[in-house]
Order: sequence, then C-alpha cells, then structure tokens
Amino acid sequence: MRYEADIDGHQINLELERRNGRIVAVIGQRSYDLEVSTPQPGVYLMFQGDEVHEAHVWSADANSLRVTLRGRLFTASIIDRKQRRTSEHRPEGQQQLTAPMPGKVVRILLKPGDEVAAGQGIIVVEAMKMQNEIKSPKAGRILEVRVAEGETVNNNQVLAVVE
Amino acid sequence: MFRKLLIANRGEIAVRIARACREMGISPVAVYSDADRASLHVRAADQAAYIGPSPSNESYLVIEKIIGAARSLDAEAIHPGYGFLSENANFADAVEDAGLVLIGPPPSAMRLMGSKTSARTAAQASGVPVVPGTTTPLTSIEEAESVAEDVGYPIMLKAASGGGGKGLRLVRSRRELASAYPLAQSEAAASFTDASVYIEKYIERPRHIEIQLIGDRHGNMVYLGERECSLQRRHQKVVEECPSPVVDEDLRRRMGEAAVKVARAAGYVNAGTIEFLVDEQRNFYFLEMNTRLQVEHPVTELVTGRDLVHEQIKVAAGEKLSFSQEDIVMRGAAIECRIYAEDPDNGFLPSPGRITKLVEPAGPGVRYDSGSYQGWEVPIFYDPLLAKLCVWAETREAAVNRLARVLDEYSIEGISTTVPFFRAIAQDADFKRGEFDTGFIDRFLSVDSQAQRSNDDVEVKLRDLAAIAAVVHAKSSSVEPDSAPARSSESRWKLEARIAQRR
Repeated sequence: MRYEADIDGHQINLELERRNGRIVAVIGQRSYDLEVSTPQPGVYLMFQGDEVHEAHVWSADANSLRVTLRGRLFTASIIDRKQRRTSEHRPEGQQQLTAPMPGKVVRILLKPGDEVAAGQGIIVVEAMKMQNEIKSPKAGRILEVRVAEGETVNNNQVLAVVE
Repeated sequence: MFRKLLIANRGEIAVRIARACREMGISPVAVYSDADRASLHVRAADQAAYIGPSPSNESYLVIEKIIGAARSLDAEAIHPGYGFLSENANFADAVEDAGLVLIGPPPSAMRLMGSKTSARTAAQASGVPVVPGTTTPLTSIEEAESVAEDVGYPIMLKAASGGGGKGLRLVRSRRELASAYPLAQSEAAASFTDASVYIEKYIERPRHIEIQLIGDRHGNMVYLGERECSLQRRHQKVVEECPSPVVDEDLRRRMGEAAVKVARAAGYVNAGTIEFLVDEQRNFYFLEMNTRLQVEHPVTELVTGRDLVHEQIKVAAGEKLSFSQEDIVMRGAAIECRIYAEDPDNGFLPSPGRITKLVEPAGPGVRYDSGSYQGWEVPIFYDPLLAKLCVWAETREAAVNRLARVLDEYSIEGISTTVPFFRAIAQDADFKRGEFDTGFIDRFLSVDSQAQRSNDDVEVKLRDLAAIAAVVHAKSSSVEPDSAPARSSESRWKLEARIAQRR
C-alpha cells in the first residue's frame, strides 16, 4: 500500500508492505525491514535487525497522530487520497476558525458583518495564564461568531466563520 | 513543632511540601478549587478545604479564604509555596494577625525586597553592585555623555516609561550616542507619550545566576551555593542547574557573601534567593530578590544534601538552622527541566487536557517532583508546570548524559509537553559544554538551527520510523477504534492474525 504522510511538516511518500509478519517500508531512497509487535495498545515495538525502537502513538485530534520515539515527539497526518480529492473541491469561500487548544474565550474583537484582514485577530482564548489571539486565515468578512466571552471551549471547536 | 500545616498552593509544589510535612510528622492539609477536587496535591493531604471556583482570583488568591481554611481546619502554620500569595506582604500580615505562622520572611522584609527600586537601593546601600546607570531621566546630551563615560560603553538607552522591549537602543560609542539620543527620545515620545530616557550599562551575553540562602530568627544566615538559570524562554526559566559551569569557589564565596549582606540588611528570615546578572568577565550585578521558595530549589538540595523545605519549617517554628556555612559542601552536579503542558512544535501553545498515559522517569540519580498523574485532566486555569525532572550525577557531563537517558524513558501522552524540547537541548553541543547565556533558547529555537537538526541522518531515520508507526496505528485503529475495550495484554500472535485477516 502507498501512503502520503505529513510528519512534522515533511511530506513523505511511504510504501508499506506486510510480508510474513514483517513490515517492509520504503520512503524515498530509504528502506526499512521491520518486525513489529504491540506489547500494549498504542505501543509499537519495532525490531530492525537487532536494533530496538519503541514508538508510542495516539490521536491528537481527528486529523493527526502524535508519535513519541526515543524521547522525540512527532506529529503525523496520513493523507487519504480520496479525502484529499474531495477537500480540493471544497469551496474556498467560507473558512472556519477553530480553537487551537482548550481554554476560555476572554475577548471577542470583531462581530458578524465586520471586515477582517488576513492575519487579523478575531477572538482571544486564554489557557494556563496565556492569551492567544485567534487570527483570520483570510481577508474577508465575519459571517458568524459562535462563542461568547467567558465561554469555555474545547480543542478544535469552531469559534467563528469567515467568508 | 507544628502539628498541622496548611499548604496554600496546588500542583507539584503542594505535593512537595506535603511530603516534607509527612517526613517531619506534621499533618499536611490542602486547599482546592473546583478544578482541583481530584488533583494530586489533595490526594497527598490528610484534610482538604474547598476554597471556591476554578479561576485563581476566586480561590487560591483570596486571602480570606486561605485564612478561613486554616482556621476551620485548625492548622497552626501556612506554607505559601511559590506564585499565588507567596510574595504578597498583605497576606503575610493577615497570617500574622490571625495568630498563625507563615513559612516565609517577615512582611517588612517582603515589602522592602518586593519592590525592584527599593531592593536595588537596599543592595547599593550594602555595597553590592547593581547594573550601573541612572534611574532618573536624563536632561541633556551632555549629561548622557558623561553618564555613559562613567558606566563605560556599550550602554542601553531606555525609555523611562518603556516596556516590552520597546524604546531600547544599544549604543557602542560616544559618536553613536550623539545620533542615538535624540532618536531614542522621539521613539519614546511616540510609543509612550513620554520622551524621557535613562542609561543602563549593557551587559553582553549575560548569565542569570542566583544564590540560595536561608536564615533563622537567631541571626544565622547561610548561602547554599548558586543556581545557573540562564536557559530562559520569554523570561521564564526552563532549565536550571547547580552548580553553574562558570562559577568557581572564589566567585561563589564572593556572590554568596554579597547575597547574605543584602538579605541581612533587609532583616530577612527563612529561605530566599538573590538573583544576579553575570557578565562575560564574571562581574556580577544584583538584579532582584525572590522572597520565597523557588521552583528550582531541588537542584540545590541534590548538590548540598540539605532539605530546604524541612529547614524552612524548622526556622519558622523558631528553631536554629541545623547547619552553618562551613557545613555546606557542594557535591556533583544537578540539572532540572521544567515539564510544561505546552506544545513546543506549535509555538509553545498551552496544551491542557487529559493525560492518557504517563511513564514516569526513574532509575539512578533521578528526582521527579510532579503534581500530575495518569488519567488526570490538566486544567486550563493555572500555570502549565506539570512536573520538574531533576537528575544528579558526579560531574556535569555525567548529569547531561543521565538527563538524555531519563528523557528517553519519560513519556506523557494525551497532551503535548516540553519533554521533546528538552531532549533536543540535551543533545546540543553548546549546552553539553556549558557554554550558554540568556539568549541561548532564542538562538536554539531559530529556524536555521532547527532545520540543521532535522536533517541529521539519525533524525531522518527516527522520523521515518515514527511515520511507519503512525501508518500502522492508523490502519489498525480504523478497524478497532480507540474506544474499544483495552487490549492490554495483546500478544504478538493476535496482531499477526489481525494482519493476516486484512491481507
């Protein structure tokens, strides 16, 4: 099977094949022959020859996975080709503004109908004594603000819609 | 000695104080807000008082609620930890007025050292060097020139009403000053509607080094060596160590004696820390005093073998210090990493949420002070410090190697933490050599140095393996979602069978 993945901002093509309980993976010019087992859920113990690598994998959100391996943390998303085709066809007009982390809405800077510039702050979310301005992904107009000041929001919750 | 002590704090420091209480036969009592009902510091206590809603200004920062909790639970003393009310002199007054004992300095010393300007004046009065310059606005270019000659170039021109790095101008010579002075004035006027500027000597590549001290009510005051705190991000310390790689016996003694002099002049009692800037020629300048126990106190404890919290409680109860200056011997090297719930790959954005899995660091030379546990939801309301990971070894080199080992074994899932960031620092050549200053983290995080690290052969391979693991995980969890019952003792043959089915 071929996969496209984004790992820490690096786009890679990954060819993965299972042979007699082993996994053979080819990424660019590099190939790996691994014996993989799962001693605990989400834990992947990979033998490459006599080298031992233990990866811990969990879902960060709907679209990405987090992997720790030898103390390093990676963010990976696997790009499904079908999904990509549909997302390419999605109209560019409306864009949703989502919370990058759980927190509390402390200020709403713009209201529906307001003009907004690309990169302009729309909503300020506070978590752990740090305030973060959620900025507009594009120039346009605020269509909707779905939260109120003082409201607690979850990760990836839609805060506003810009068109 | 006290029978019962109230801990007016939360998180790792409240747990650390509760441990000291138990070791001393004192009953620890906790306070908690809505968000902290099942937090580790509550679990570590014998009794706990509810003090209100989650936001700290409605709970942990409300003096009357803390005093009320101590009264209703019949505690005799209050340990404020760090942050929250720990440096609030009005709180110290209120504790005294309620007939309770504060584990900390007298309110008068807290007031004197709490203000930067009065602390600076106090330091100068005791003959301890401060960063040279003027604190009053300059009136003319002639005055600016003469002050600059006195303190020596390079200097900083600073807007008197400035802040946030605005209105600062570095001047390296008299010639530069002639053009820089009017520019700085007009910048200051534009940014702060106040044109006044003053001069401070510019310290190039400074280190931030602090002296730990503790005094009792019988006139004894001892310094317990220094801590190197130059590794900072946005003026927040991230890695601390003891001893500093640049401090020798002689400098330690001179800094220690200067610190004791300032603290004595302020009438200081209990544990405190004097912060200094140290320049490349190893001249030191008084910066400020922290009138409380510091976050990074464990590295001092590891190297001196003294328990600062035990000692704090003893001197607050009126006992004499259990050691003298001659008893303090520094042995080996200790390094602390502050484990924050922040995402280092995403601009250090806060990352509260549930800790789904936690493998705590262990093994020789490890000290782990934590306020979190597996299954706990990290609240959005407080400081993101989850835990402090400290290592100790015979030498600094061995301590750095140990740190790298421990960080590899340490794993927190469900939220993002600064663990991977520390892993990268522990591999850095300059860090390993002990060559750094307060600008280290900014340079380390620069795009160039990150790109350089990520193209290293070893890094490429680990990234590939991580991608493979992610794909394998995504494929298997699309068949059996994460919400399925835990398959904790899954054996290899089961996995093989599943793979075979899918082929």
